[in-house]
Amino acid sequence: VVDRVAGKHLFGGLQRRSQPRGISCSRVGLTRNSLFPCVLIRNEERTPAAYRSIVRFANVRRVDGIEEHRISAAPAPLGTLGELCENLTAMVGRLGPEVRANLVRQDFERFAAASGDDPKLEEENGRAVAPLLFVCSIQDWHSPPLLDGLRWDGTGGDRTSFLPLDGFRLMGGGQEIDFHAPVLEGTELRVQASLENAELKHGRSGDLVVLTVKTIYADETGSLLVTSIDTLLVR
Amino acid sequence: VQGPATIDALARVPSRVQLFCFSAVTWNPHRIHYDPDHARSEGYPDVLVQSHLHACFLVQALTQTLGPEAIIRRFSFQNVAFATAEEPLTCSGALHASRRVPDGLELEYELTETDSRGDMCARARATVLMPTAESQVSE
Repeated sequence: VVDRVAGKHLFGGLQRRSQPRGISCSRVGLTRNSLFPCVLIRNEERTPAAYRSIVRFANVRRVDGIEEHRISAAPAPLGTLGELCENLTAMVGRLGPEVRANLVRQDFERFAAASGDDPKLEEENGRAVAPLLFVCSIQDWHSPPLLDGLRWDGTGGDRTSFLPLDGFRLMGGGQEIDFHAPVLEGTELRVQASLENAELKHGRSGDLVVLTVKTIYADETGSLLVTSIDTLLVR
Repeated sequence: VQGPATIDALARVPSRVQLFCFSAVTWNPHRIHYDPDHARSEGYPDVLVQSHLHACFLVQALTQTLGPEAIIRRFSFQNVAFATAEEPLTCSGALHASRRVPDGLELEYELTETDSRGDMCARARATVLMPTAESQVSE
């Protein structure tokens, strides 16, 4: 059973011609037992591409050899990828929130252990040095951490929370990182992200928007520690 | 004078527990890394190895060969294809360029990470300073 609001999202998407690929409109209709709209996909149409496409709108429930894709908490994307790219292009230069965080040795050790590295840390003047990729791997620095602000799929940390990405799928594509100085325990880190670029591309698995987000990491005196340019893929 | 011509192969098999711990310590709540149903709903066979964990493996390969005196000044990586939990991954690399700089020897390495089928999951380029004995003495 599909709820009314989600159904509206689905049909809104179809009217904007952003319906899941590989699923014909005639497959959209009412179920026998439901007054609300849902999408039916026959087994032979359940290709990976169609499947990936429809999950923007729905979860899956098997009914008598037919996949009934049921709307979940996933919100519909706010427009097409082309519209998103236009919106983001207009936002180039926009700054995210400046976030501060106190760096402690135990977080460095946990990061080293979790990444499969030796948790014994280097030291400089008695202060532990953070593992090389520590600061630019952390997705959110808010203190206290924010859970309510996250998107339904868990994305939405400092680097992207200020961008209108609700309903789109977000993946890390890589980083270019410059290391200016060692990151030491006891530092009050200052983190600031900004949107550098947005570009619509046509990839092997469909269209995507490639976002470039620059993040600057400095210490409490403003001295630059690390600069990172992230590539984020939005589908 | 130049640095090692190749980076020794480094094998890693990221377990589900490791993926969970890495998500926890990096405050990465993206469900694709710990919720198999969600990962499948996005068209993947299982939970995915984090983009930054791939990068960590590549850095570990580099430092394993070059030793603790190597100073990594720049590191860029690209995620080329996804890898799922429990997938054996192998990192390796080769020297691309080297030049003398005032504080030592600057080396540029190209690295790749491949899965058990030999398909590339990530590639990286690192600029590394190897301080020379003279530059250390002069400091």
